Amino acid sequence: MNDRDGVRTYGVRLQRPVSLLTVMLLSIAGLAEAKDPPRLYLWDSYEQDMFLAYAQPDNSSRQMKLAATLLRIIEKSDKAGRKVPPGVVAEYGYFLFQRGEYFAAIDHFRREATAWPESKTLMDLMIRKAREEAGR
Amino acid sequence: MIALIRVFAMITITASLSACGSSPSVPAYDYGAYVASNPRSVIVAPMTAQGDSSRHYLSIVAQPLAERGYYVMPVRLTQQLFADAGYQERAQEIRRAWSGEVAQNIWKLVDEDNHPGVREMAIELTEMSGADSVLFVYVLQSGHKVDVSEGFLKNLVDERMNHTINLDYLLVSDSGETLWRTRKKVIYTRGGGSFLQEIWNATYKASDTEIDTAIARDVNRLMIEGLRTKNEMSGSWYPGYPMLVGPYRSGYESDRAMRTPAPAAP
Repeated sequence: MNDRDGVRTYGVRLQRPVSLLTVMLLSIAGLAEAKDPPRLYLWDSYEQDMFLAYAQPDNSSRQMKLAATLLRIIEKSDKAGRKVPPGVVAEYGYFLFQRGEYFAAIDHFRREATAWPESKTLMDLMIRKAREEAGR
Repeated sequence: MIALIRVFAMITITASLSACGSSPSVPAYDYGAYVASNPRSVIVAPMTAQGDSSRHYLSIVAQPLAERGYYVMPVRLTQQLFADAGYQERAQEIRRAWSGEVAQNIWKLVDEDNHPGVREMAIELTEMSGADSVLFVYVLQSGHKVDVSEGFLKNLVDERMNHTINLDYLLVSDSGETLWRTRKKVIYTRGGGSFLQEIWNATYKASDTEIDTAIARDVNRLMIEGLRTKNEMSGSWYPGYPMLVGPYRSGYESDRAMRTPAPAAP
């Protein structure tokens, strides 16, 4: 690769990243200015993937991507020794439920109820539903 | 994915965002019932199937509620349960009544018992889920209007469009009592003309739904999390009266104490 190619490559590469970089910097500047309190939980790309999933509810690859993100949030939070955000283990359990993996779903509903006592009534309901489905 | 990151990053450069119907001289909000009820958990009420903005709003409501310190019932799971149980049709009825009241005082729906549907639904949903409170959010989109003062042709060139969005929040206790309510109207002018926005518009054209969701996300930040925004810093937004801090965030007790009015002197 000669110099000229190098310059051209640089020019081509610069075009798109500049706008993205601008946006990222603005984002950081905005947050810094707002002096946010520390986040309680790790969210990864939760909102983006939820948005995509809600935008096209029948698009199975988007649903699978959301499920993968939920699992990633659980694993990352566990690894970091932080509490998994409210509802995330249950949401992942519900994906398993929808896939017909009822016993794995029950494990997740139990885990949610143990981590968050506020969820016990709803998780008990989901466990009953999963048992009914598994017994069919 | 990058496109979505961009859309969500966009909210920091919405320099022409302006809030209407709000002035700095707002009477102090009475948090008495909210403090007394002391909810720990929130379930998001069924969204109507109608309207993209309502549906998409579900993707951005759990995170701010959790970060405010509440347990949030899993949104995707509960919304599916609501749909299976036919709640969406009832939500649609409430929404119709709610929309009719918008020009006046929408909160009559609960306070004056004009529409018992809200109260009944709150009691049923909290019984089913064990949640302490229900958050009703109505996303009212007033359409995307071209700016006629600039001429139609210029609109085509600039893609200058106004997005007007109303967000009505209503938190109801498990006994059907109103705990907190607020509303925010936002007008966002697309292609507003600042240099940064021009860069934005030139590089990425977001869909109406993406813009509406990004604006709603910024409003959540303000009204649910009580966080200041860049726009507010510039004076166009005021913090208003956000949700109280929930039990899982530090500052829970001090926030409650601050919101409780001192007893009147005998």
